[in-house]
Amino acid sequence: MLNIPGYYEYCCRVNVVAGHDALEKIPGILAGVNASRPMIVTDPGVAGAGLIDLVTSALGNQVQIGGVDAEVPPDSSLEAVRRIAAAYRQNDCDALIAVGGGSVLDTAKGVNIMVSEETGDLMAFSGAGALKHRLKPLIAIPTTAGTGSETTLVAVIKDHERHQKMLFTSYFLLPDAAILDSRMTLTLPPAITAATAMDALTHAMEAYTCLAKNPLSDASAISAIELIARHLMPVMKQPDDRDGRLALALAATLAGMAFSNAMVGMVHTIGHAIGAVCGVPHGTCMAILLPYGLEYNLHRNGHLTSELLLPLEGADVYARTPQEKRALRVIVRVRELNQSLNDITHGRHARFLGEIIDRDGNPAVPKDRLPDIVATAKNDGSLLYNPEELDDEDYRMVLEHAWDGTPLDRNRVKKG
Amino acid sequence: MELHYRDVSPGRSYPQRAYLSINLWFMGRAIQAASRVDDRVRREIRGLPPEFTFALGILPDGPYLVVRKQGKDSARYIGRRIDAQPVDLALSFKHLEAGFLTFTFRENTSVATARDRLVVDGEVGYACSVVRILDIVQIYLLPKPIARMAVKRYPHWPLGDKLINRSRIYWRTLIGY
Amino acid sequence: MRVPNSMEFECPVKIHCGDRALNHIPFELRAIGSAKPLVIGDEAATRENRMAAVLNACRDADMTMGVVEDVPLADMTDSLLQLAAIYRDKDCDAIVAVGQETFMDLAKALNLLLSTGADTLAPLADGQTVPRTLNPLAVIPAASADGFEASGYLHFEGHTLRSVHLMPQLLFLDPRATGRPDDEAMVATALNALTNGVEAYFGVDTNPIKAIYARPATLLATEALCVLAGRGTRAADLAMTVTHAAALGGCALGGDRLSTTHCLAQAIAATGKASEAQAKGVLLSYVLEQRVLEGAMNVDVLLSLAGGNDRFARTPEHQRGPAAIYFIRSLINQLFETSDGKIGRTLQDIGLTRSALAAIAKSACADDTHENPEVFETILTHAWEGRPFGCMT
Repeated sequence: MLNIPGYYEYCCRVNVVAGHDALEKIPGILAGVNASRPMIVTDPGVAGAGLIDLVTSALGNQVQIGGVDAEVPPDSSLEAVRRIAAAYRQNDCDALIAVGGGSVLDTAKGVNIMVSEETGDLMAFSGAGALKHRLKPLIAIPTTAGTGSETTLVAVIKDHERHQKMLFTSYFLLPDAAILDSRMTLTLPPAITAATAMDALTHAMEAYTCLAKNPLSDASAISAIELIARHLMPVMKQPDDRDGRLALALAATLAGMAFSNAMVGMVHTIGHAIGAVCGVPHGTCMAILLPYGLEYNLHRNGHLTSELLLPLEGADVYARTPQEKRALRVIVRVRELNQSLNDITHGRHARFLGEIIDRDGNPAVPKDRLPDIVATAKNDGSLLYNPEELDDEDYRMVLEHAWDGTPLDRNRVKKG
Repeated sequence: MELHYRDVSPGRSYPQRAYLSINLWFMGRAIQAASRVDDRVRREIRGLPPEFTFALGILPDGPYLVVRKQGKDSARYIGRRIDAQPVDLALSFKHLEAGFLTFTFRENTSVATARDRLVVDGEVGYACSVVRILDIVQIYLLPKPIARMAVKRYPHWPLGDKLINRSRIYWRTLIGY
Repeated sequence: MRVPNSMEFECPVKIHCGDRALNHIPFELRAIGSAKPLVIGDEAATRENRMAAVLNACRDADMTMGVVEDVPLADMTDSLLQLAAIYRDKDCDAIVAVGQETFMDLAKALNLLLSTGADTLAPLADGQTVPRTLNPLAVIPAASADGFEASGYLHFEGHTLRSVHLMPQLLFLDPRATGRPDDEAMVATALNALTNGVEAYFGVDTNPIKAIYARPATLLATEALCVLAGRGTRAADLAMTVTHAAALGGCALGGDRLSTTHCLAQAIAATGKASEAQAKGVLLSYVLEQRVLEGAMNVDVLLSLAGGNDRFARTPEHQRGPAAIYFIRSLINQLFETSDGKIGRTLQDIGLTRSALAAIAKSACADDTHENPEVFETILTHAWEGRPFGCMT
């Protein structure tokens, strides 16, 4: 239903091009912005999976590729930005195509600032609103269906020499177009498909239930939830389901639009911290923590969570479940989804923190690291948008339950 | 028919500016006072880098409150001008009216943030610390019913703690010590 | 929601909606690189104090603004060329437009002219390509708007251009700037919004991203119409609700082809017998019904938007579409009563003769090879008689 805040802003200027043949539309899009010599930016994983070949063959003879840099590191670095900017200039490129996840896109955004502002000093443009002009055309091609970073106006670049993290925020950083093509995610391994879809589901559910929601982010969130609910398990069972893959990719973009306008809450606050402290993949943290976030905030936003039952389970379950039990049913359903994903991936999709293992088979989140996670979580900005406050004790309580995989004791949630 | 052009030069809303200036001044000095009285505030300041300077105020040209970390865990109010020194973190309302809504307790900080009225320029992690400091200071300064509207969750502090510290903070704020 | 095999959607509009939205204008203009905007308004904007509200809200923001008030709409070309000369002469770098529909067309035309650097009306000629990068344009619509101000449509002196690039970059919806419309004007705005919302959400070329705008447009428009039809209590900000609905409907429409209801309503309005909004009110449910029967549309979800999630979920699946159409139709019937017959239930109510229908169907199809005049005539006939197609049974 309609929840209209006293004031809201909404913007998603990205041109979304989706389909089974979306890559083939890139030459037309480039021509529309008078560009003909794009530089392709990607990482070794994406290139190794043969996805760049797919892109280049779709571009065909109509576009001359100015260069390809497939060496973007897992966390965007100033060094990579400088290297790619130099290659861009040397090869007379006039547009950027970023193929990959968040760090590839962040790197491409950094390059775009350097080559558009004709500067060697990226730092001069950091912060909010330092960019005043349109940048060169940037096309984003996501290769997982989760992060939604193709819809964000932020870029984070790390300066490893100075141990600094530079943050850039501007509408000029939004990609001109996001290309969602089912071929890009068709070969995604099951565990990653599961984790990234749960990441997108978390974006949508937090955007709908946290403080900065608005009628447009709500509409994006609802569509995203409905698409994930309908297509995730079929795709897990049949990975070459092209329609399902496209639906999940679109769901991730919709969820990205929802959260880049409505922001996210405590699931991200804690999830970011676990990622930073223990190096656990983001989607894994999201999948585990999502039910806890919904549970913790229940006394504040249960009426909103209950509305999610309709897109999540459909009309029949919604009608059969009494109003006061709908929110709880949503939480149970998310846990069931995690269980089904755990079953179908033969245990690779973790259901609780204690169950996550690293590459060497050791526990990735040792219980004695929980205090470090609390300390890191406290300084994550997403908490500002969470309906209920969390202090050190609250973080510990949530983390302990999430570590064991037991539901929260709702009596222990302080209600202020 | 000939069209008539005119320039509209910017004006000043003096009563609102005066109200905000006084509030920001008081708040700035209260942060300084609280950093000498309350352990929670001290803990937050301890986590900030040496000489860390932060500002809270109104775009595009103030007023602001500017506070700098001093020593290990205390803070000093250093003025109302943001351009007088470099700042590490600025929390700015996008316009005068947005600041006015918050300082008249019609939109608390988290609502103002949720409604996109506040801009954070600087490291977000430090901004979280600063928001917590502001919350604690507001709980001390404001009567409970108003403070409840200003913060997300009103804490259960020991009564003696609150009463004694509150009067100490008020005193120190007024005399600037 | 169905995912099409191939889709493309873009909405360059940044929406600012609600309390003190106008105060955000200077900040937003600065964020897109503007230092000196030209604020332009029509006579109604001055008369209804909307211009004053905008200037007041921007007063204490350290930004000098150029202002031209009371722009006459009698000679659009003259006003356009004068404004272009002023903009250039005074070194302005963005347009802020406060006014009604026709005036918003003037603002878009002005922006196109200035952005292409033209001294003549050449960029406005039919069939011209609109460049992707126009100058910043901010619009502040009133409650009497039809939503086209937010869309990619530009009507100017008999010419029509459409492109997403013509959409304004910034849109400000503020209760202080909606004006004080009467119920009749609000019903018209809401009917325009409802048509844009519903046809964007359920049309053949819909997609989940278009639905982001179409869904709340439909929700807001039905909410407002229910109140105007005497259901439920009247909130203070009804004018804001309809303005909001209309703007989102315009965003959903973008630069897309006009939908069936729209084309038919335009053709009816061209006869001078009724307004576009009146025609849309009558036609919408009949068009939906015909499309559902034909199998070209599924409007089940409309029941959840118009009647709520609970009602939607309780209704058996095969009854949802018919129930949604019935909902819209009974709403219009109620509006007939509350508006003393100004909102018609049938085309006969709004003054059309049966003999005029064939010509209307033909002219509605004139620009569009996709549509069949016979189908249009059938829809018009049912709407004239007030006779459902029978999907209710």
